[in-house]
Amino acid sequence: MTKAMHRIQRKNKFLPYLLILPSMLLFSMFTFYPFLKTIALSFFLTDKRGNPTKWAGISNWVRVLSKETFWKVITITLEIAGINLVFTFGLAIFFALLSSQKKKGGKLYQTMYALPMAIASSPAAAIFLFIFRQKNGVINSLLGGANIGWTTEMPYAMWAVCIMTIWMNVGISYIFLLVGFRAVPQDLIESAYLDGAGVWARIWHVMLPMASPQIFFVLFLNIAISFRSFAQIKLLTGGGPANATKNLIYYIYENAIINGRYETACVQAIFLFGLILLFTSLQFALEKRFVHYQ
Amino acid sequence: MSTARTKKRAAEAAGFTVKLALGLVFISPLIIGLFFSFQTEQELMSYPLHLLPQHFTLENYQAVFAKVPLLLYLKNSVIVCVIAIFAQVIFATLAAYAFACFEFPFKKLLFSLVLATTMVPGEVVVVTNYLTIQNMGLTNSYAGLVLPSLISGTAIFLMRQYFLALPKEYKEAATIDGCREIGYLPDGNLPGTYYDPDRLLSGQPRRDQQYAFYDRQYRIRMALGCRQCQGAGCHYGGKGSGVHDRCGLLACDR
Repeated sequence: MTKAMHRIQRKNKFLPYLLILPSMLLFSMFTFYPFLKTIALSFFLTDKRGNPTKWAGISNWVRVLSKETFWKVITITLEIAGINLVFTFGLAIFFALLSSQKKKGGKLYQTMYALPMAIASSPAAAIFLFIFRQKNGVINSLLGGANIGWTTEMPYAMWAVCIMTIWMNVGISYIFLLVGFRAVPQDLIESAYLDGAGVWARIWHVMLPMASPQIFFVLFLNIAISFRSFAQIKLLTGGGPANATKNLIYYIYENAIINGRYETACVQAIFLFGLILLFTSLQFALEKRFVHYQ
Repeated sequence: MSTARTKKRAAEAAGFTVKLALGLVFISPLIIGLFFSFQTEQELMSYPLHLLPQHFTLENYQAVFAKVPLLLYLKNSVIVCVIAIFAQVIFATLAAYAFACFEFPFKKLLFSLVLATTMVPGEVVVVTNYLTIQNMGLTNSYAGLVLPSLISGTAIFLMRQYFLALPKEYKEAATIDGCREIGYLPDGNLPGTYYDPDRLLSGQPRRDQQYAFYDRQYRIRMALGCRQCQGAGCHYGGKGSGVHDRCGLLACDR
């Protein structure tokens, strides 16, 4: 940046803060304040409505972290998030590459690939309950009257939850990736083609690097989404069988709302935040190496 | 020649069929849901399962409209959605502009805070937010419903990604040209942004008039260092007699 630019910028010292102010005020009220309150509450004993009653120090933390169920839930959370991340991303990239060229009638299948994102999770779960139900369910009927408890037996329950999560999340990733691939300059692809690059080489060396800002964004979005799967678990399996599909969010909900252990839920909520933070910062550390801005 | 064309057309048709079939498989849960919505409850529970309704009925639809004020819900959704979208676009654009185009103390920290908001699960904050709304006396109002969703960290992040993809030199050119900082947002950043969501998401700037103007200013500045121009007399739009190889501008007669 030139000297002139610096001089001009110094005149507007407060402008950037002014621009951020409205957003920050809203965040403070509805995200930071509740979150800080959650942190504070994790050091108190609370009543059922979440009001602090007694200072507890770190005893809440010790109790939560020393429980075996908690670590099992963490493992399941990572498992569900991992499966969802890989398959949502993979399927979205597959669909996006499939439809990256504008073709006649392409709007038709493009709409189909993106459509499930327009469905809220509870009606989607209602449909999937019919598909997965043990007696007379769609999948069991297709399998010729099989008697598999898709939502009540392992490992099927895990698949059921993941299938529905992936199905709901592919659409949004697909749209971002499609736009990214469409924006790759056509002459670049053509010159790669003339240089003798095959389909895979063109995808790997041209399309993916050129669309890396979009890919980065989609991964960032999916990490947060996959850790926060809740509705499908609540409605399909209820965390069962024997806690096998209970992830951290569902565990938090159970502790806060059903068991009325608000302080326990607070500790776990902060832990969940830390988990997402860890994976997102890992991703940002990789941004500099793999993402090309123009 | 004609066989090659026929072959190509056949390949296209096959590709289309495969893509369409994949799409149909993908949305099959929705189609199943649609078919089931025309079945009576007995039929849904009876064995074996029918996909197509044997006794077509609309009673489910009648029941929904009789029991639930669906249109009222729809109205609520539209109101909340429209307000939230407008607020998010405005607030997120302003914040993203600051994060993308300015250097200022605590920028990194503030941006990390914005990113952190996207990672806080909604379930964690919802109870406290309800109490906040209650203390403001806004329960049972649109204001109470819409307030927590007036801004989103994802929106700021997305807009920033876009602004970052615009060449920095354009802003310099605009500043030197006397454009005020806030003025660059509508003149320089937004013209590339607001017409076309495709472009917004892809980070590919759109060259329309104002944008082209800054592009030109930038090139003129570059031209000052161009050997052929000798730092003077090079004006875009003058009578051209060839193109300078360094600055890409039309060379002038003078």
